[in-house]
Amino acid sequence: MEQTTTFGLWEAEPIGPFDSTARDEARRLLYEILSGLKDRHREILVLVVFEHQTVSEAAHALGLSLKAAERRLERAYAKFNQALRRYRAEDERRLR
Amino acid sequence: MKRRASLDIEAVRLIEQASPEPPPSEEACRRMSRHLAPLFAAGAGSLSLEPSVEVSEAASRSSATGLWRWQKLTSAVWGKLTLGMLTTALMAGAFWLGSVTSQGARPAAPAVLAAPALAPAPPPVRLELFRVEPESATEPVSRSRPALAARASVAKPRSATRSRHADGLAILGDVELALRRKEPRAALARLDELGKPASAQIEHLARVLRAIALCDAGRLDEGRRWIGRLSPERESSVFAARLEAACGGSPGEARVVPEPTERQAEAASRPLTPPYKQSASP
Repeated sequence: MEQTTTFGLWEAEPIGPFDSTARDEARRLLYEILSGLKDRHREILVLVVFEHQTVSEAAHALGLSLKAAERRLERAYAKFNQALRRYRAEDERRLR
Repeated sequence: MKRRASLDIEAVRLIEQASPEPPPSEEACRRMSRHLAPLFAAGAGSLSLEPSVEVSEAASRSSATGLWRWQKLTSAVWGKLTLGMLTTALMAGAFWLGSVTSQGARPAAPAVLAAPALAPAPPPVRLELFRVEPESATEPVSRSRPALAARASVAKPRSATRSRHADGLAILGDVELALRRKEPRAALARLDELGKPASAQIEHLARVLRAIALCDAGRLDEGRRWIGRLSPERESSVFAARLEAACGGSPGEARVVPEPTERQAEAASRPLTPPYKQSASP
């Protein structure tokens, strides 16, 4: 089967419709959770988790001390986990 | 111990699942470069002109769209900028070529210089210009090519351009080498060539080394007199331990210095060279 090509330059990874839908759903959920966070939590999460910066680099970028950045990151992790658990619980309740 | 908070395993899974596609494989990159190679071979000019043509056509079709207007404006500005930079580069090249080829400080006529500017500048001329010594930067650039080549080929002797400070440091380096080779007489002979020191630091170093050399040569009293001429801070000097080792002990204590062997005498008579410059002798 001919795979989808990107500009005819390289062939994309073989992704089935299920994988594609699951990825889209995961992205939607991720954006929803991130947009529900406070700005200060979202920005440090994005820098450390998605931009793969170290905590000290993120602290420098945000103008924070290392301690303050670590505290904020822990708080952001906790908020992210909490939001995800809440979303899963609502999802289960809806499916029941 | 307090456990550090981190993302749950479910959160990590979610992030991994939502992550974008992996970067293209090596084979894909090779294929991409094969596709792009003809475009680059065609030249940057053709690449940069294509979008502007497309943009102008599209803009004429839908001129009401602000985006197209913006793109048209930027492409026009870029086109003018590129043309201006090209013209400036051509004029600068013409001026440079004319000033290099003209004899003397003859005023250059722009109309005459415009023609040779189109020809590529010969690389040897450029090399000669870079080899000219820094003092020539103040001189007028309008020199003939043979004059530049002659000036670049005639290099001043290194010792003439050295400052007195560098000379002093070189002599002190030789003295230090001689002292390490246990040749205090050679060190003293080299120190006598120093003359008037260029700075207080060099003078201080010369005194220290002379004291050490004198003591090593067995002339303890003279050495200690030189130590007495050092600054009062000599106790904390980095040479304090060496001075103590060379000239320590009671003033009347005589040190027996063996007569130099034939090899040492020969070494003392020849000019000193650093160890890394000496040829390996059997």
